[in-house]
Amino acid sequence: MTAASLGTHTGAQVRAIAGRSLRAVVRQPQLWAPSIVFPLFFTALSAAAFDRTRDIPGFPDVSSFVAYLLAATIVQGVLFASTGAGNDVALDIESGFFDRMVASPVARVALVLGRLTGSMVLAVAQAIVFIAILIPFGATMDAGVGGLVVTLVVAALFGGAVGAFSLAVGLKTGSVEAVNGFFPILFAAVFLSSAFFPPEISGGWFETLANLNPLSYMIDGLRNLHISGWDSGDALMAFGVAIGMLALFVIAALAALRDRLRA
Amino acid sequence: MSAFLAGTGAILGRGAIKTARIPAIVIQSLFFPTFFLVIYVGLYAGVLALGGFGTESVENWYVPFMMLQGAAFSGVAVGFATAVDIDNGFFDRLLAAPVNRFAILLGTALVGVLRAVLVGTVVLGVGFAFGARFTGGVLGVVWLFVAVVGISLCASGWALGLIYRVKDQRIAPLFPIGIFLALFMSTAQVPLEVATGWLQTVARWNPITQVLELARQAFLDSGISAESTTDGLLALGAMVLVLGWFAWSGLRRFIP
Repeated sequence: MTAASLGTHTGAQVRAIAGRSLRAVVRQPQLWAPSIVFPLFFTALSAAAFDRTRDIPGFPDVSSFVAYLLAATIVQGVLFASTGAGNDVALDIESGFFDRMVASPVARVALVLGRLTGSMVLAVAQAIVFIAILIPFGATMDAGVGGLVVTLVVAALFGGAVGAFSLAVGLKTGSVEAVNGFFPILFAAVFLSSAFFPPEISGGWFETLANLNPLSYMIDGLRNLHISGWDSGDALMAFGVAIGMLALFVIAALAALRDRLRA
Repeated sequence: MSAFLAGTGAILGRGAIKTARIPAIVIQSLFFPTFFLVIYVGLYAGVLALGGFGTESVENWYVPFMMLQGAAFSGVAVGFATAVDIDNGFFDRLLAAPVNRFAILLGTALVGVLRAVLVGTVVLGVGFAFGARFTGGVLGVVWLFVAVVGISLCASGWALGLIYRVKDQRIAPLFPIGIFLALFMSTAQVPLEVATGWLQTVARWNPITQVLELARQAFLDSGISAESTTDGLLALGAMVLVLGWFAWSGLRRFIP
């Protein structure tokens, strides 16, 4: 697609860049397959290993451990895939393609928003796959269609937030290694939350850290919708954390873009 | 015999020098076990309320598993190094040199063992910092490190067997995945009586379960038992032989 056909409309440019990001992912299964397979493997493993922990006093009332893990599986999968935005921009910088994009009449903001849109669409697709696969194995969606919609919206926002974080690192450093180097921090943030086990049962320093971790509130909000039915407070909590993270990291990504364009 | 030992020593020495010069090699093998140890002792502390773990200390339960994980990563790392050697032509020069073929394999595997012991010791130190304590005396520590050495040899055998056959770096992602799956589908996370469904069945037949039992004697309240020791050593010995043969037959195939 040429710049001429795109015209000067930022919306069209965002769509074109998002489409490019998505096509790159779809055409390379080695990029998206691990982000589906690994979270599902961990869920299958954890469900079989920790299913009896549902008998421990204080564990939420769930029909299976898979139901407890649905929100964690989505968050983990989205996390695995959404760092691709940062990797792509770092690769474009390393190969010189980014400079050619900058030299073309593309709105600067489209360079960030286009990739984020790609991350968000991918996150929704992943969430649909995880829900479709895990429901036959015991996952639940007690909040019905409302819960499903909130789950998909939160997945999209979280995918955008992770994508923006990785974009900020990619734009700042221009290095694929640096983007990948930050992945363990995000990975640790998910583990140090209520994603995989109730912190109030484990207690100690873990409970303190998990209670300070905003991801716990997003995951708890989603999980409550999955296992306890509709509650506006839970929906707002999950949505609020996700949109907050997205706003914060988009600001960081735009600042990194500004710095790179100045350099 | 002395030529064989000299060859083995030379390969091991090269690996030791490389480890000393590029500590990042060990840090890669150290990261995941240390990371998971810290996470697991916090995250799954409450799981011990189910009982059947043989200890009331979550650190005591998870430290041996993480040491074996570190040993596995150290073992497969020599596969990565060999892939690079094959790619840059060094391995062909090594084969052209008057070095015993088995010395090449053994020396390479011993590099993995050296790093596994190093990584295991650091993971053990982190475990102690979080509250792990020995309960099985000196013999328990001996069996713990025997398990570390054995798992490292198994992981090296697996990775080297694959790279000698495929001769292409693109096979490298399979090195850790195979070992990682084998480790996790055992009693790594919970004992057999706590596990459910498919995991309980797979873990019962997975020889890693016996190796973990051997290693955990250093940390469980029951201390050393002849049965756990025998079963663990037999399982470990069998795995080392099978995967050692896999690597050796791969090396023999490599040489035209």
